[in-house]
Amino acid sequence: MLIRSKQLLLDASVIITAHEIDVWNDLLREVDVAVTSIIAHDESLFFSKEAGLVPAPINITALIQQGAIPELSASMSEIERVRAVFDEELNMALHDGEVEAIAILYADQSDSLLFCTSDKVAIRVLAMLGLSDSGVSFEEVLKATGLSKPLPHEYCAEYFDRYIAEGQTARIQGKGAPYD
Amino acid sequence: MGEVQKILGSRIRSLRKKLGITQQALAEQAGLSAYQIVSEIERGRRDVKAWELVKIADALHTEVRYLIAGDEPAPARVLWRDYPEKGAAAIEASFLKSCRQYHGLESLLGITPKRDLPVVELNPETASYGDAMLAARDVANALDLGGRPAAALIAVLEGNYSVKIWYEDLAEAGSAASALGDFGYGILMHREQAPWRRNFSLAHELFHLITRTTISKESVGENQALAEKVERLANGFAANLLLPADVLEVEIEARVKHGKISYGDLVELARDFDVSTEALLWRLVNCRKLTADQARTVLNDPRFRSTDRSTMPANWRQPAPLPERYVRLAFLSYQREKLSRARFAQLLGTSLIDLSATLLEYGFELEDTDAYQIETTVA
Repeated sequence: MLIRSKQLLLDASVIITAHEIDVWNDLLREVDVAVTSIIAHDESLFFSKEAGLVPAPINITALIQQGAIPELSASMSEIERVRAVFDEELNMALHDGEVEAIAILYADQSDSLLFCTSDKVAIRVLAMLGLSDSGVSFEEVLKATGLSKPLPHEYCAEYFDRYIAEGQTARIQGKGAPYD
Repeated sequence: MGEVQKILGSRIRSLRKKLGITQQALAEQAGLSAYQIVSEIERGRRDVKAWELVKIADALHTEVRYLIAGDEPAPARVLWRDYPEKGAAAIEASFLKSCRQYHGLESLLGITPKRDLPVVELNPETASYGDAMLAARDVANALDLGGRPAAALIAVLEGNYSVKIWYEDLAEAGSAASALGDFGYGILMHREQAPWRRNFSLAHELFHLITRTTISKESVGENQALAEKVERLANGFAANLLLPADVLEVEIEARVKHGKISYGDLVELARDFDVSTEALLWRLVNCRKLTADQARTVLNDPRFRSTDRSTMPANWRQPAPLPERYVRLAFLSYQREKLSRARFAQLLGTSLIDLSATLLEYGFELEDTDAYQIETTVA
């Protein structure tokens, strides 16, 4: 997988973990990182009531304003298209930011994007929509950029592959996104 | 701009007007920099960004998918005991959204109500206090509430009938509401009320749910006297439900010495049944254990008030911000991989970073469900 040649769409958990293990700034230097507009504008995702729990100041809005990372926005029709494919259960299952990321990938004809997520539900949905090759684990990203560090298991390739396989099975069985 | 934007704009305008808020107020609540943005969106002259749509949906107490697809759920039937003076439409919309999310979790887990709530057909024009009393006895039996109904009521309504019970600060004027919709039944309670008053409110709202087929906004109409009568019937039902005559009689007799009962015993009995001392005393009047004059005398006696107040702090339990059953269902949905972590945090109204701490407040520990497994004999 040519990770360095693609734009990397990061989910919120990956952004938090990249700060926690102190690779955030290196990551921005090594790869072309992007975030969805909903994640960029949802301050509550990175907020903590308790002082000290946020690993380092996470200010995505400032980075976007500085031009350090782009904000990708799905159009209404792109979100509508992906929502229409989901059954009722999947429509309830995902955060709007995750739906936006998947809608962007679903509409992407250029094959230039990779979604980096650690969420098993989101990983499975990627495969259910035939987007298995549009996702990547955080472990693989760090490996490709020479920034490897020990990670919780949900950020590892093995975990990612397991839920991709589950999603592919569900796709064959017509579960979750029956009209795809 | 296209037809899609125009349709979306008109949906947003319609929901905003239902809430009775201006474009300026919507812009402020959605964190948009100027009301002109809302104006342009409503006219279909602006391509709405996904993040703007999320903020607008939140401010309108709806979900993005409803705004996009236009499949807004069918209107629910909501009955207010006292309408809050400020922001009532927004409180109601938020309550209904919460009920739908709660129902969504039940659906994810395949949970359906074990039973439907009993129906009591009462004609509001002709029904008497005696009818409300009989209804309370029948409902207490049907719900199997036992000798201390207040202690069991919430668990029975939530667990057996999937009634969604939420708490909100309804300010001074509001007290409670009941709702019937595509999500089943919902009850909204005043968070700041004393626990024993909340119990009474819950029983009062239950009356509105069990009389749903015959007593409604439509059947009462603009008739203020009839509306007040219905509220008195609901109060009578609540008093009879929470203080069953036969159980109360036994408890009173055990405390009477030489034909008298102490203030301390009266207060203790009210706490035992988890009702207010006022509710207890008027129920004793109703059961002919006291006269109305005696009840008033006791209630106006500063020594009784002082005894009553002295027991309050120990018994004062504030409800958790979210219904515990709702949190449990969300937790189960997440554990069973039916919710993403970010969606789970969103449903609990917390951030990803604070998710573990929020769950701990409800007695749940956020562990990866894959990390710990045991062998079972089930194939």
